[in-house]
Amino acid sequence: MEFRYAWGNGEATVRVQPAAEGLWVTIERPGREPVGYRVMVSRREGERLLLSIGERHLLFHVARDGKARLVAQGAHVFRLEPPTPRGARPPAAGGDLTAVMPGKVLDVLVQPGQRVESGTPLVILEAMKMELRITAPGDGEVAAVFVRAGDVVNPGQKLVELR
Amino acid sequence: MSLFRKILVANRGEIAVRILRACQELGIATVAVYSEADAGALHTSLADEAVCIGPPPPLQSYLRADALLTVARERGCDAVHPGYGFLAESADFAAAVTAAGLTFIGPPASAMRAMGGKIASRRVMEAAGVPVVPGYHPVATDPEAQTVELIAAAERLGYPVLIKASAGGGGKGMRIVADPERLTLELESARREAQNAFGDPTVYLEKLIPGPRHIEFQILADHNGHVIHLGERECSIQRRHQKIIEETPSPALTPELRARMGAAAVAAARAVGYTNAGTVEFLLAPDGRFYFLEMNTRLQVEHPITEAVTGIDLVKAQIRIAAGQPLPWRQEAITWRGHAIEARIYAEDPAHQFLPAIGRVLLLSAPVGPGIRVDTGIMAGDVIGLYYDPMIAKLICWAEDRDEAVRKLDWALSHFLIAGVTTNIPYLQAIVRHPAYRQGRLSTDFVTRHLAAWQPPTVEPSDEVLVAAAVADFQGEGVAPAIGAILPGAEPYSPWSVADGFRLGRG
Repeated sequence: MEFRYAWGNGEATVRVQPAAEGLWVTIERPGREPVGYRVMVSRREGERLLLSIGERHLLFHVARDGKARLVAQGAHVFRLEPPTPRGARPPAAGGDLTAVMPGKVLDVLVQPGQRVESGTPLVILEAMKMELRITAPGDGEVAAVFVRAGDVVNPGQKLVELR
Repeated sequence: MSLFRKILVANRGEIAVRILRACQELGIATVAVYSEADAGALHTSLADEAVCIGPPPPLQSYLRADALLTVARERGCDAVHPGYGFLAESADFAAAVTAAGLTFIGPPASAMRAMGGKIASRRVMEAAGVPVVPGYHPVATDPEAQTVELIAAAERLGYPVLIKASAGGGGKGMRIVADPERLTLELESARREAQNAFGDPTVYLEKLIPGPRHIEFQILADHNGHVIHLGERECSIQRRHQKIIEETPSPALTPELRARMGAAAVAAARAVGYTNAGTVEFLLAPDGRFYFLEMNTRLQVEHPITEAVTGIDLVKAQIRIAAGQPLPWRQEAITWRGHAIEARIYAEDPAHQFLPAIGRVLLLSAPVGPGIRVDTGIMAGDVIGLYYDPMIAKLICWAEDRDEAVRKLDWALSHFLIAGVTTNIPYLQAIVRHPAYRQGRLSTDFVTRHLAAWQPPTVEPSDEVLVAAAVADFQGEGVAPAIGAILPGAEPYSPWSVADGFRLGRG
């Protein structure tokens, strides 16, 4: 069986085949010759997966989060996603400033058409009873304001557009 | 003297768990309370009885004094332990508990009132001869007149100054102002934050002591007027005024300075007629002068490090003192062994301004070993929500000396697995690995001075990690019905789900 994983800026294709003893696992990464490993599943109990890969014995914790495969080694958690088709990746946020967490808009400090400099406070959000100041990432002009004081916002919701 | 029959634990999370266990060890029956968001939480399963007290927002559940008292009465409790946070420092709640004929496991309401307002407590300390940071409290009641007063005061104190909320705590309503032109703006913002967080917009100014250490003393006081201190905790590693790593002993204290600061802490407690466990916080300036900051009239989050070096169980001591027992230790009998450090593990994202991370904890595996203690109220499968403090766990490491304790903490952090929500573990590791931290060169501006530009390292998955991913996907999740029941992403349709006689790797 073949599985494809993507993370950050990388991706790989992994093939798993039953072998005479254990499994034969081949990993293909872009720009590298495929590498094969002889793998024995020593133990699988719930989330714990003890593998011998070649000469090494390694303990992993595995879980699924929606479509993502989580693999933990020690305290480090790797999140592997199904690859998105080429070109389908959403573009970088561009000129939109979005809420990164749920919260309440305490104050909107700018108006459309206003010139702002890098660091100018645009919107004050409150979350977890802490004030969070959303500031302009660079010099520009406010193209649009999408929220008002008192609004409750969710992650990803547009607050202000700069140009 | 008998202790209590049944204690109501008026809190949630790790501190509720900590108190419930102490009660169990003492043979005292327990009642836990929970909000609808905490149904099924660890603390509810540890208590003899658990009662739902309302919807998730704290104002409708954990902060409802009337609901808590009703539960205490109906369930036949004779004492209430408030934990920390929520109502722990509410003098009104303490008074209501006492008026209902129950024992409040904490100081008397009068001591809480004397120490509750930061402005009032500064005056009491000045009168008791305990040094305080030079500062100014506005006389006017009108905010605009206060601003005028505070602008003049800031000129006299000299910039930079610190704005603080009188009712404050946890850094809320606090601002450092170096630029006189920004003072008015920051005063407004601090007042707004203080109003939202504490219901009281009063703020005052203190002169900023540059590069100080945060040193606090644990005290215990019984009802016979016997007050002792259990030494210090250094809590200089803070981010936005929130403590993240605490240790004892402080690398900065000599036995002579410890004795002087300890005596000041005891004097502070005596000045307000304090009983039970409390903490007196000081700033220690680089020149060796120390100043009273505030008194926390409750158990502290970081109490376990004091327990580790003194061998004294502070929660049990609180219960015994509240029951009227005298302290069994004289000051001379208190000894300290080794070094203890606590790191607070938060569900927050260091890559995105440390915003609280929410989600379901999918995997949780805490390190164990000699000298390692983990206090947590979270189990795998629990959801970290937005209603409460995002602390997942406290990791406490003890060793014979500081260097060994730091290494142990580093090891333990590297083996503390939490998947499903982003945590600050990589950030904590970066701190304990920093040369300045290793050398004990600590100050409250440590993280802005040394780690301002820090970003979590990106680690590429190794071939071994990819092998593990593919083997897990090849097998499906069905091997473990338990995890399949928790995880929404399980694959019940996979042929591997039913392959309970799986024999790969055995020929």
